[in-house]
Amino acid sequence: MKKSNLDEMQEQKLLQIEHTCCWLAFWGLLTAIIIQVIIGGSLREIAGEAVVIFLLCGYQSFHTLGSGIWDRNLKPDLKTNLLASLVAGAAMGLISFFRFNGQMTDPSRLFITCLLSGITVFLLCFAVLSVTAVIQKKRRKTLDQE
Amino acid sequence: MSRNLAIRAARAQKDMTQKDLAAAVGVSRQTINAIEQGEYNPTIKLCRAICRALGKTLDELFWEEDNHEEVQS
Repeated sequence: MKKSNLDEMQEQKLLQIEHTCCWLAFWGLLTAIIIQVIIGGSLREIAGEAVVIFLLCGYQSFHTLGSGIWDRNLKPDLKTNLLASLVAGAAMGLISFFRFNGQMTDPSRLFITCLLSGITVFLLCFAVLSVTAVIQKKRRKTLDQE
Repeated sequence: MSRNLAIRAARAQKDMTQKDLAAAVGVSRQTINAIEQGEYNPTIKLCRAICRALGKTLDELFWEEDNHEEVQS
């Protein structure tokens, strides 16, 4: 391991700063992607941000699940997963509304588009959360038995 | 977290400044100051290094009689 120039308190402070930077990057990228989608940006235009955010999320998911960790405050139960998926679905529905509001003249078509995109994200999100919750619980059990 | 007056007293007994103690245990002066002010909870490794440098036991420097800190499972 590389020798550190920092003592343990400085190391903890640096980790806290890096933690804040990581979440700033995450929310900043997500906001940038959402804004670009709303103003009509193409897939090509958001590709850079999307790749970075996927890498960030992929790395975090892989290592937290590997360590049997879920979240500081939330629990991987059915109720929480349903609620989180519902929030994601509602957000997607809203984003779709702002994205297609000027393009679609027929309100019922706009409503169905928003509803379908919201439901799709809800189902996808719920499926991913359910699968990862099972993985996390299994991993936690394995680590506890070691 | 309350102030750690025991370290300050032990340091004074040995006529050591925060800087001297920091150099002896290999940390920054700010870290020693934060421990004495009760702003930083050191690892057991650092606690032991401080005890060795000051010639005291862990109990003498870090044990608090009215310690009601909750231990998370």
